[in-house]
Amino acid sequence: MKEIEMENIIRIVDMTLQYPPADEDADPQTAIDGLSLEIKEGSFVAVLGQNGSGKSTLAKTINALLPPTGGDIFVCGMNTKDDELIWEIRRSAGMVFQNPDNQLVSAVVEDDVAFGPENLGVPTEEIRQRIDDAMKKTGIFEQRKKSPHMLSGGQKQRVAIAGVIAMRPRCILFDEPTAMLDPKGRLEVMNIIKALKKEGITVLLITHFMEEAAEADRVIVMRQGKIAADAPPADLFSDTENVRRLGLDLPPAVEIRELLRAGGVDISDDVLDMGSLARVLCAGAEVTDGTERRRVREE
Amino acid sequence: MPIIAENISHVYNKGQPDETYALRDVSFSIEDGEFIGIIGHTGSGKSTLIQHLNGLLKPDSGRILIDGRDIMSKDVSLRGIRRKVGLVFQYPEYQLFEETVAEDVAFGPKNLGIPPDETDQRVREALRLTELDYDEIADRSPFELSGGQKRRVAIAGVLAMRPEVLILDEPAAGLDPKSHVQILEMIRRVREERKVTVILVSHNMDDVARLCSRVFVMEKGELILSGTPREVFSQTELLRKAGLGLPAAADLIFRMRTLGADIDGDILSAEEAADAVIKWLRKKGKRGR
Repeated sequence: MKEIEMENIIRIVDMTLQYPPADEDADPQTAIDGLSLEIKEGSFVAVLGQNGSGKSTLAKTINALLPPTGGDIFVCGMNTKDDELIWEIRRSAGMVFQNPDNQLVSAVVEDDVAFGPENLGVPTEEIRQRIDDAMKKTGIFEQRKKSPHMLSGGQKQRVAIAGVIAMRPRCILFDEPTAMLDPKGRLEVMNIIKALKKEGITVLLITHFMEEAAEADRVIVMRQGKIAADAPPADLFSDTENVRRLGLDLPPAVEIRELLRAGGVDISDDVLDMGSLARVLCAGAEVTDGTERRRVREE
Repeated sequence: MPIIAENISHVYNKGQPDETYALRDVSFSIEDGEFIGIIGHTGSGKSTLIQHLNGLLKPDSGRILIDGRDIMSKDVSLRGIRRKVGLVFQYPEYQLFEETVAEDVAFGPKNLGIPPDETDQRVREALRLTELDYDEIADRSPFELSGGQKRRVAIAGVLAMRPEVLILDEPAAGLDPKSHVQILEMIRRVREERKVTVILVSHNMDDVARLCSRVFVMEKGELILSGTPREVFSQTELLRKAGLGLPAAADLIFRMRTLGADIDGDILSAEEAADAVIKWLRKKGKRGR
């Protein structure tokens, strides 16, 4: 009997992952330390944390690339420890990595996108439909006959995403997909992520960019293999002291928002991006006298 | 040691149907001690350009003069140029290969034929400049270190050559926010202490706006704009056409102006933006009454 769990698309129970020690005398390195986490289907979750906090390891365990050394992980109800389910798990929870160059295998864009579904044994006529659909969604349909090497970094990353979409996953794990891209490429990839979320695909986005995390429904902050914070972005980024203590930054719009608030401008916590901030300010935000405000606070 | 580029062009696949100009007629001059930022989207020619500045690539036409001499002329030693112009590539930690940190940092000076005593001294100095603890780290394998530490070791390897010009291609890419700030702060301090000229290639407009004294904008192999950060980032239309963003504060003001706000001045920092917005809200409030 297989254990079936369907309430949350990802459910992690008291999971530990230790890497083997570098040499015999050393202790094993604990990358994930007794972590429990549930992710609802259709949500957009950002994962933040300093380098070495366990973010990437977490994604690799969910994708069944690394078996946990303790506890369990269920993806769409399937336990990642079950060897027979590994391919079904990877089909259900696809993964996009940081460096697009390491993910593209074919000499032609559309062949690359077809690689996943072909491996799944999808019938030929359905493959055509799936890859056309995936390439249109990611805006690389016009480039389909080109060699991936002719493309920009952002386009390459979109090819990699199309390859994952063509597998029709319910969840996609993105491990710093924009780290190597220029601002335009980053924006293109973020727009695709938001469109996928709208379609109901669960998104887990590991990132160092606070403005990207601000777009999520929920932000998880990792620290030393544990969850150090778990909150909607509006809540997380409103506690500026805590954000700094966690080794994070404020999203650029929130940094300016906080300066404006200190100067007496009334802006709510859910204003997290530059577009919203500009709109709120132009739509009649009011400034009270800074001194009055301070007096009110002291009382 | 001023650097002058005179009409340099670099062509890939010359004479072929897919002939492309990676650089087209680029000219500039960089004075001692400047802090230059180079921005441009991927494929705009930034990396090709910096590889010309230490002779890794040869221009198809035009000249690069360092200390007044054409670096491609026969009597100039390219080895000497590469010692004076240190180039830190993107993700330089992938190029670490020695067994210990000290050996890795010593690789450059040793190759230059620097005697062991002085090499050791330079390794200590380079690790100090990159804010790594020699006693703690010198004998460790570079592969045991964290991502941020590895990158510092790689930068130390270039600093150990005691370059007069330091070129860095996206030195903070992929680092977490804290390491990002630390590595740029370190570069700023190295520049002050060693009096080196720094050329920073970056996709981060805020870093460029904050740190650089002059900014070069590359687009399709051409240098389309150069000036102080304030001058460059006030050219919002041109930057948008080049596929580039604005520093966060300038972005807010640009968006507000698009929505009809009459805010004056070229804004670069968050503080300036907040001040300008508050001033504007007050003025608007009075008018409304």
